[in-house]
Amino acid sequence: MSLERFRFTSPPFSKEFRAGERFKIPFIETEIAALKAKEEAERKAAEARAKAEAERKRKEAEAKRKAEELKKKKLAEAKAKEAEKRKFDLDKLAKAIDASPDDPRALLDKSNKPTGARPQGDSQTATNTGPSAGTRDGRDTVLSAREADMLRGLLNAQLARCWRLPAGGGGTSVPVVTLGWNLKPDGTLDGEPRVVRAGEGALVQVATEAAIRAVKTCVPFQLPPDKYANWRVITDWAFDPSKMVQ
Amino acid sequence: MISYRFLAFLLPAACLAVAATAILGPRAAHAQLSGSTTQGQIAPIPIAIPVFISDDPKLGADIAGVIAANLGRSGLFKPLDPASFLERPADVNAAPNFNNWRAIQADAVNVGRITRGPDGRLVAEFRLWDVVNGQQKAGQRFAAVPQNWRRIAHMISDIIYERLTGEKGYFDTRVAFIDETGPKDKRTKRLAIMDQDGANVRLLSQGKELVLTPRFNPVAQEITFMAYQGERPRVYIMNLDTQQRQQVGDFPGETFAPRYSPDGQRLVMSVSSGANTSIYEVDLRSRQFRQLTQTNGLDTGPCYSPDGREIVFESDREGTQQLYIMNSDGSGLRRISPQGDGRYSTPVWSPRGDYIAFTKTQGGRFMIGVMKPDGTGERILSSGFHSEGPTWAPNGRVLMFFAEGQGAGAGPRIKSVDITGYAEQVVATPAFASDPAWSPLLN
Repeated sequence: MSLERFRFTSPPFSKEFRAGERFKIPFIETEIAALKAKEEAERKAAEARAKAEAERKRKEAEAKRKAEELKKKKLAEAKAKEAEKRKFDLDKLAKAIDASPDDPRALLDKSNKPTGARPQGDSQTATNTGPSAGTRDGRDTVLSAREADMLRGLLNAQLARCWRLPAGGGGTSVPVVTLGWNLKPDGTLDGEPRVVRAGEGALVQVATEAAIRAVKTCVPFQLPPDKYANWRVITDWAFDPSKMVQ
Repeated sequence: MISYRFLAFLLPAACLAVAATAILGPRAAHAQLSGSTTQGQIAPIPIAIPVFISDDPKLGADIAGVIAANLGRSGLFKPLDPASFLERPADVNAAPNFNNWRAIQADAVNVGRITRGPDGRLVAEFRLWDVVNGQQKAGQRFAAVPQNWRRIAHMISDIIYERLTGEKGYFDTRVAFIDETGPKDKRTKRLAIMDQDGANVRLLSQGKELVLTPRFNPVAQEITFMAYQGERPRVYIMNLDTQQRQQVGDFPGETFAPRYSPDGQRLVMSVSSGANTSIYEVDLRSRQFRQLTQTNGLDTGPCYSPDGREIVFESDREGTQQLYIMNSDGSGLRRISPQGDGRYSTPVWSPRGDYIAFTKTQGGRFMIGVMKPDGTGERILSSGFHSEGPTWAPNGRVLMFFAEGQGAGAGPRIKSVDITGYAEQVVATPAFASDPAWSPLLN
């Protein structure tokens, strides 16, 4: 019962009564008070009901989310296993790169760090360490130094096959060209490669074109899908022939 | 009230921003990858050169053939087999279907057209396309008299070469050489000139006298060479257009091994007097000469640095032939060839200035090599039974030299080799050929 309805059912007041505030009718006052109390009680009950309902819904959502997470985790695990089958085993790859003689970059990067097996995620760059670092669902973008080396090594091994040195590769000072590019989850280019830096000299144009050609002919890059967040953006990648020219 | 509301809105937003920085900041930093690649492939550029669009199918095929042969010989290009082409361009002004050229792994495709203008002249147009990026890299139009069709092909080759390697081409050039015919013990040697690919050979002397060491003037249609006048060798200059020749200087002794200064104003050469042979500089305008070396031995094969400030030459002043550099006024003499049992001769300074090419003999073998002007970085590019006399292409990337053949019917052949030692091959000449000298770029 609302206050509005009560007003309609109550006896009609004279104009004076309605206009003046000083007139108080005890019966009506009491009834209003009672009604207000009742209303308050009802409101509280409704609140409690709503609270209970919200709690139930929250619990339901929580359960659903957990179920979904579990499903997602299982899916991710299945994917990871699949990836493992496709030789995306991170450790295996890292080891392969370590052992690969034609990939000095991976070795160079590690030259000032202790070699040998280290627990995954054990690094200064990782804000999450231990088991929470580098989860397999691809959402975690915190990368251990070792994983970063591994990704670098993978990219480098592929680019070294695609990068044909400009000007026949010898006899001249070919400038270092640094590119950046974005990748889609399938390893193909997301937009055009960007020239971050290109040195100086007569061969800049040819060197830049050679670097862009390397990236374009190398797609799709074969990189671990669960690390996509880490290789989505290649900020700066130098194509440096100085060690190759005579 | 408004300010309160504003604050109420701002506060959570600010909190969110702080939270976002805290959460996303490090993530963003780690989600970026950088690195470098220091090892690449040294491989020739795969290029497709389809037959030029033309009313004259033979001419269209010939011109494409000359370009493909030029680029292929350089060692920096791999012209693709026309049989593999999926498309035959029909319009020089339309972009080709890049997928057709990507499919055969071409990096570049050169589409050309050659037509005959109303005046009878040939008009050639071409467009060079980057297949990977789908962009035009070069495009030009030439007109020439029909007999110069090969030159058109060479000029197009130079543009393609320069655009794709970043270095100057060298195809529109000529080579002076000695054409050798007849039996081994009675060779007829004639001064000759040809295109760098061995075509268009033109004889400049009749073969009645012995001629040797032709060298181009870097800035004029002129060569200098040595010819025997009776029993005495003399240095001459010949205008290539008129074929008129004149003797350089009137020295009592023999003169030989001439070479122009980079500005074409002077010659350096050997002048012998009695037991000694010294290097002289001759001013071609004033005809005045100056002796630059003085020693009890044989100083010969002088060659200027590209800036004209120094001269490299060979001398046996220390017992065996070795290489020396002096300033162009004869001062600052120093040996550059290393100590050892190797003999070094015929030094030639690269037009780029970075290397000096030479003939080296060691253990009965002849080698063609290069070293830096300070004598370091020696590298042998070719070795054989008797290889001798290197000469540089104007871009300093390719050398020609000549190699004697072994056996009764054998004779000398001109060969070319890349500065890295790759792509050694024989230059096709109609007869035996020796002593090549590469011209500067003609265009």
